Amino acid sequence: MAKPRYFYYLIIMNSLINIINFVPRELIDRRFEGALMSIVISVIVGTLFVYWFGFLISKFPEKGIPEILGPLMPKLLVSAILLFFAVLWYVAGATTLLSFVDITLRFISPDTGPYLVMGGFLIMVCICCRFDSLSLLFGLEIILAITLPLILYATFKALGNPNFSWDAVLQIGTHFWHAPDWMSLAAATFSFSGYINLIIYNRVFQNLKLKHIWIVGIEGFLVLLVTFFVPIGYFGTVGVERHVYTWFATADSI
Amino acid sequence: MSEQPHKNVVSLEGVKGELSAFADLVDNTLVSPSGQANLLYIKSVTDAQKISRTIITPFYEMEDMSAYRDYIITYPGSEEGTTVERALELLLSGYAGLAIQSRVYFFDALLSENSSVSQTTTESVTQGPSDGFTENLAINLNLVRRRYQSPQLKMESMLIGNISRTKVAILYDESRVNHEVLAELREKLGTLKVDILQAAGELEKYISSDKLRLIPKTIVTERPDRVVFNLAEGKVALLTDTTGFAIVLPCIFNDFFIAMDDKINLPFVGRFLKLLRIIGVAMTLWLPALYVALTSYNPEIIRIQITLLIAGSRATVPYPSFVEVLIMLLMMEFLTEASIRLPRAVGPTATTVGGLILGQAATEAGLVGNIMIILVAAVAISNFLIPLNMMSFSIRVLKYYFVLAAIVLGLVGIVICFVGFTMYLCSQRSFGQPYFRLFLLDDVMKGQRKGKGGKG
Amino acid sequence: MKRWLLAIMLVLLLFTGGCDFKDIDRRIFVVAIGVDAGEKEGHFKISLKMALPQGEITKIDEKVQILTEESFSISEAVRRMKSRVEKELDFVHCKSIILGEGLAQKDIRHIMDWAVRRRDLQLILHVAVGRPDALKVLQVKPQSERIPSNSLIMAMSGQGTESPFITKVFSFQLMRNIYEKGLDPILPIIEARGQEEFVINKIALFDKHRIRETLTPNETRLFNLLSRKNLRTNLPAFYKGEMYQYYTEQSTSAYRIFTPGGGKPTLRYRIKIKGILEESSNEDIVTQSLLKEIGAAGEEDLRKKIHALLRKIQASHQDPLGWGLRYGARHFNNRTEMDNWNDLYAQLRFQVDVRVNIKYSGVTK
Repeated sequence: MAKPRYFYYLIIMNSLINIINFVPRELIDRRFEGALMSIVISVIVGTLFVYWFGFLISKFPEKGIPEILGPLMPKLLVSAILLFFAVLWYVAGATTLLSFVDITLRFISPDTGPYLVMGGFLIMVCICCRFDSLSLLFGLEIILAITLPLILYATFKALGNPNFSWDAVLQIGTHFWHAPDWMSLAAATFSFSGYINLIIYNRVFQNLKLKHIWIVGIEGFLVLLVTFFVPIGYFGTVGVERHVYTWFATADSI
Repeated sequence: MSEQPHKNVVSLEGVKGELSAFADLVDNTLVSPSGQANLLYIKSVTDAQKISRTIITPFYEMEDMSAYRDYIITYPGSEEGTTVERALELLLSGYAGLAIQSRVYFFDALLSENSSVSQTTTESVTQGPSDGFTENLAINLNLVRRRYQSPQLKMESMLIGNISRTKVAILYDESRVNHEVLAELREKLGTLKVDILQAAGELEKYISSDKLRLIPKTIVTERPDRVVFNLAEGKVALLTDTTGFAIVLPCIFNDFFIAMDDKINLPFVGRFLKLLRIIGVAMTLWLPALYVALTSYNPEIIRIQITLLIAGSRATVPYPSFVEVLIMLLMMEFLTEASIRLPRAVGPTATTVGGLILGQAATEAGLVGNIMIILVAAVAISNFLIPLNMMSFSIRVLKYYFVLAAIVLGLVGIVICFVGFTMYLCSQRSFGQPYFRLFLLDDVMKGQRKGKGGKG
Repeated sequence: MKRWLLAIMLVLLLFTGGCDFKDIDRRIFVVAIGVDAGEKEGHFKISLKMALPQGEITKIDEKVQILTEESFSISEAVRRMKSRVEKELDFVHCKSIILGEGLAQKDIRHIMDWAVRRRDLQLILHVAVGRPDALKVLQVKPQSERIPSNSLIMAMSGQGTESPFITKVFSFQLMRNIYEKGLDPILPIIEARGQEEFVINKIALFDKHRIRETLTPNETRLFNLLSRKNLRTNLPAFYKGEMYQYYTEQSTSAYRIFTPGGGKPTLRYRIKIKGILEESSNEDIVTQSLLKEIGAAGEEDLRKKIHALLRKIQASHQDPLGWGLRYGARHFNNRTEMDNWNDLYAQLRFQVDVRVNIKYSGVTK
């Protein structure tokens, strides 16, 4: 069975992916209208959600959602709910995959046929889907262990670059006292939503101890700050919205 | 238990009937003043000297038949005859059959032709024991027991193979072993139906449960010290007769990169060597694929100087980079494989030819770029950094998958293949135990709790 | 299930031919781009400097090809040049883009937009103004150069020579500065002198479209002193009629914008330099007290020169050092702060505090 630290891996993975995926564009579009306040609020709200969900689901050790709902509700209702969830998560996964294929096509292999790249990704995802949850968690741990140092290194390199304009960052910081709005709040809390994976992965957790939830809060806060401020430091307060793929342009500029 | 006397006498005759057309069957009648005995044995598997010394001579020295019979009964390795099938088994495995006073006894007189304990051929170590297992199970057991003198080291024996009747010994340390693994192993071996079992690797094939076997999940080794080390860790060892290799299970990916040298050297040297091996594996897996990806798909990653150099060295090569890479890799494979099979007389010629061809001539003729030579040499050498052969061969083949992925999709292909491979490794279970994990964190945490360092 | 996946994989493999598989020897790498104003009004003259790979490693000598094409649009010119070479033009190793001075005096927005919009041009291109025009700068081939255009890149990026007169501007910086409120772009000027030599020691100040002002080499050096940390240069000090030069080992500069009570808005620079004496026209032995005097003289000299530079910048109505942005970053009245700054700017007073500490006199006294 999996140790409790794998729960944190699920959340961290979700945060790290969303550094470049959907979150920065939403936040940066609203940088003058309350993005910063949304970030601060979302840290509190997000950590709360994580703790709440973890606490609730730890009451059903080693059961996923289908096993929890099964005995409690009529079969038809359970099937309907599961079908709805399945479609929802299928769309979410497909959207993430498409987003990454798009980035890959634009930047890494511009002239490769899009269907080929999509096919390659799909084949790998389908193969990996067939493995059991515990193996996937092990694999996640290893891949995180390899990529996390790289990400940290890149972040420090980005921040330490002499061309990084701290003034622009502070300029946006002066727009702090602005009411948050729903879209940026949603985007910022999305960074914390790795706990959703637990609905199936709970099958491998025996005792989910949520002792170190504050790590999630701090990590989420830092990740959101990085994903929001680094492009601004490189592209200025006005120029940053002109980049379609903000983080890839940022990576290009380091 | 007690058979009719004349049935036993018949059984020795009956057994003889089964063994017709056995030119090496010897049927003797020992006649002495005190009685008579019939001796039946197969000459090619028994030790004639031993029979003469321990059966024939005492027969003529002892006066009393009953005393002789007692002597026979209490002699180590003797057994009373029961059924015809058992009799056949025993005779074929080197026992001599003796019919005395209307009872049949079987006597262990096995002659095993084998080499004495010799140096290890496939796994070498700089400082440390270098005796390896031989083809005789008894000698192998001796080598192990001498190094692991504990009453906890239990041995169970099994006969596998309907025809080869190979003796397999299961060794484990009772206090440390994982009993689930043991139970699963016993079940697997018990239900095994196979005719001939000759090599340890075959046994591995039969007890492994995976359909698509890309990587080895048991260690096949010829070093007693490695077996002993693993027994102390709680693993199960299988020793097979007629083969000089032992199987150790369950194992994790990490085990394949431990050479017994690491224990001998200073710890930081040992860790450095381990790191070196991991880098070697990374190089041998990814260097050819990276070459294909970086030259044909994404040249922006390498510096302009190297780019121009590679472009220049490929100026005379008429076909795309992946053909170049595959040709060179295949030539390297041919060379490696041939050098295993070469008769000794031809050996030096082949290596010279290989070196010359792969080295200078191909480059001079403009068939491959000279950067390829360095690449292929590096890949070939770094492949043999892996101490255990099965894993080394696995990795050798796996790199072609990476090259294939690079051909199709470039750098993206390599990354996808890498992720897939990692996930595949993580989904492997060696006898129910997880095969590939970041054990480091577990060890660190265990070490912290114990207050001392973990197993490193 | 597995058979299906295998079948799909095999089918996909057949697509290998249609994908982006282009061998490295079928590409020709562009290392620098030059953009000039064309003969006709509104046309661009694009020059591409391409590196040709060498076969023999032992006799490496750089081979360069420069192509020029004129057209009404940059993309059009580049596409036309594609049919003038036999290999695929590849911009991935392009490291610099030079804008001709004539073009820089009209408008640089168009070109900057093109350089940033294309996905295969890196955002860390070194941008510079070429004098007399970009093509001449591209044609410069110093004797010590091994790889085409490498000398330019090494000089501009500071990997090679670390001159206090060279400023480097990346294309993403240029874009940022053009769009930012409270910051104006600058570009270094590369002068081509003959076929084998170039000189980079001036800076051009831009407004959001074109050149406004050029700084002399001395002013360029002082500008770099203000905008960078640890500039390595020598600075003069005159004491009792003798000339001394000291080498700046460490230098920092910081500034603050504030309004002293009742007075005019002031921008105060604080510059700290730690130096070593490099040259002395005096024959006497240099003592510690003499070092202190020299330091004080150096401070005075620097203060005057920097003050003059700041005044020049103010007179040009440009803001290359980002004072406006700093002002905005320190004030929370976001709606009105930029207008306030514009009003302030003309009346800004400058105060320069320099502290020069010459600690050592070199290896002789």
